[in-house]
Amino acid sequence: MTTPFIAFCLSFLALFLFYVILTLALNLQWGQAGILNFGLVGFVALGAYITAICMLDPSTLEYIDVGFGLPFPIAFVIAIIVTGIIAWLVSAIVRLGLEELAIITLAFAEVVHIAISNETWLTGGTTGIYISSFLDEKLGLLGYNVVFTVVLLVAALLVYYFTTKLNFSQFGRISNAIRQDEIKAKSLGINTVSHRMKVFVIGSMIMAAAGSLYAYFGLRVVPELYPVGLTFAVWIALILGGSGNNRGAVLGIGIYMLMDMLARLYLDIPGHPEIAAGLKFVIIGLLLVILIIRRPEGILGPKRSRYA
Amino acid sequence: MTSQVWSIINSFLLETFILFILAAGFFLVHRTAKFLNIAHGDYATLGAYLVWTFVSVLGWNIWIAMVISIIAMGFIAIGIDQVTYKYLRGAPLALLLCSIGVGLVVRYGIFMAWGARFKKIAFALPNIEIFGTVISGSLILTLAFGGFVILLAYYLLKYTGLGTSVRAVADNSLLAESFGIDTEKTLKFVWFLSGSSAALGGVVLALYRPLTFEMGFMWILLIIAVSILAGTKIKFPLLLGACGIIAGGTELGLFFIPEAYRLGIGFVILVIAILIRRVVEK
Repeated sequence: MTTPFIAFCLSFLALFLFYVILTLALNLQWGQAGILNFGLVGFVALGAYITAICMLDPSTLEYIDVGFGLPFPIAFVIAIIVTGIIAWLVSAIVRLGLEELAIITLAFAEVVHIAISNETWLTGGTTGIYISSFLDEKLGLLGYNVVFTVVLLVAALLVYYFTTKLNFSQFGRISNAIRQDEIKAKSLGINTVSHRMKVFVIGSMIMAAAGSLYAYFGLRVVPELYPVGLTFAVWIALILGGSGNNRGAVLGIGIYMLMDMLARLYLDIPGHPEIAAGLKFVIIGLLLVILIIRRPEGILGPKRSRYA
Repeated sequence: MTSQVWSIINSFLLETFILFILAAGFFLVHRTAKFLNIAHGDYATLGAYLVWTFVSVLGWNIWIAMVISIIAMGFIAIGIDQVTYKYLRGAPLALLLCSIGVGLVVRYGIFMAWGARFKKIAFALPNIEIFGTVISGSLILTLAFGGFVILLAYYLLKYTGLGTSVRAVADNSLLAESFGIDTEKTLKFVWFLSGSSAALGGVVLALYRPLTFEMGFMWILLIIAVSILAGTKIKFPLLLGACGIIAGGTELGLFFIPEAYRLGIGFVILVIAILIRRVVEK
């Protein structure tokens, strides 16, 4: 076992934990409150880019015009708060009609992607932004990866604990009531629109936090790290594992990553790179269709409180 | 000056009619099957690729290739509906998710079958000169196709039995069923029209730009925007008007905002469209 191999395994584990946080956040929105968010990757990218811009040292600017040189913890908090405000604006615009929100978030992610690819003065365009971390120089490759993984593990556990608690609290029961029957929930005096907006903003803030953490430890942000496909990957993982069930969400993303890795290792047809590249998405699409038709509740099925 | 004005009018007309032909089938499905079919743009792409294959590989006449492709896409749309959407009737959110899966399969299926390289349908049309301005043959063809779609829709919906049942299902499918209308048969008809008009849209797109596997998908946000803006009844003139508003808005926006944000402008118009609909519905 050489050091680079262990470092590789650790970074793979870190990627898994990053996806786990995203899936849990989406589960909060879709599994509990029934909100369709197709702009997941937009919120992740926002978190990552705001962190990077806040941390960029103004004295070393080359092709980017803005940088604040803030330490990571402050940048992290700013990223979460700003993304929260943007998520609130997005949801406030449409007052959360569900189909409309699905389309608006899809368009939102697309616009974020165009903006970060084109606004070179702010985001570095396709070159992206390099983040300098003092940990990187002190700890060396292996130590850095260990710290990275442990921090993400703690974050994932916290999010897991938080979302599970939320699901079984009064807040979660209201979410479940709205998802199951909005009119009935309204007749019980629940302000369904404002409650859904709260869930949407909280979920988006968790996504931004994950994006921010992963960007800080990845030391770089570039547009191609945040493709629209990431959104669908997380969606499929959630539907696969079982929406409304945190354990299902983790299982789903685990299966998804395993499949992805196997496809990368074994799905290599010499001379036809299109087939290998396209087949992955075709399989994802087929899985999505089959799961929604045959087993909409996922492998584990939903786990609700007794009152939900 | 005149040429500048003409070029703006030209691109406005083009955008309006391409969008209208692409959105017609989506609109019909949106109003009857009651969901947003994200895969619609990919149907258009598939239709265009079929035409390319018939013309460039098999060497058929372009017009025959078009007709065959349009009919084939109608049946493909019915087939896809029968194996996927049929099981999810009446669940718009599940249908939306499912159509994303279908879109992925069709889009990357095209990518696997035809590759990533640009394709171009060989299609030479003569230009026509009226009052000193040259009008391109492809623009005339686009306008003619748009007119054909709107007239055909008018005739079908107003004067045929199936068209009447389409309107009944769109208004209230439960009520329609209790009056003895075969909803499934009606939906099959709707899917045929949807798939074939998507293929027509793909062909029109292919008149101007080389084929790529994502060319239809790029239009889906605008298609959704016009369909939402066009209101809750199946009225194709309203849909054409909505296309005009969106295309005009985009053309106006491009005066102030760089070309890279074309989709962003569409997004803003979509938000405005949704807000307008909310206000009107209240």
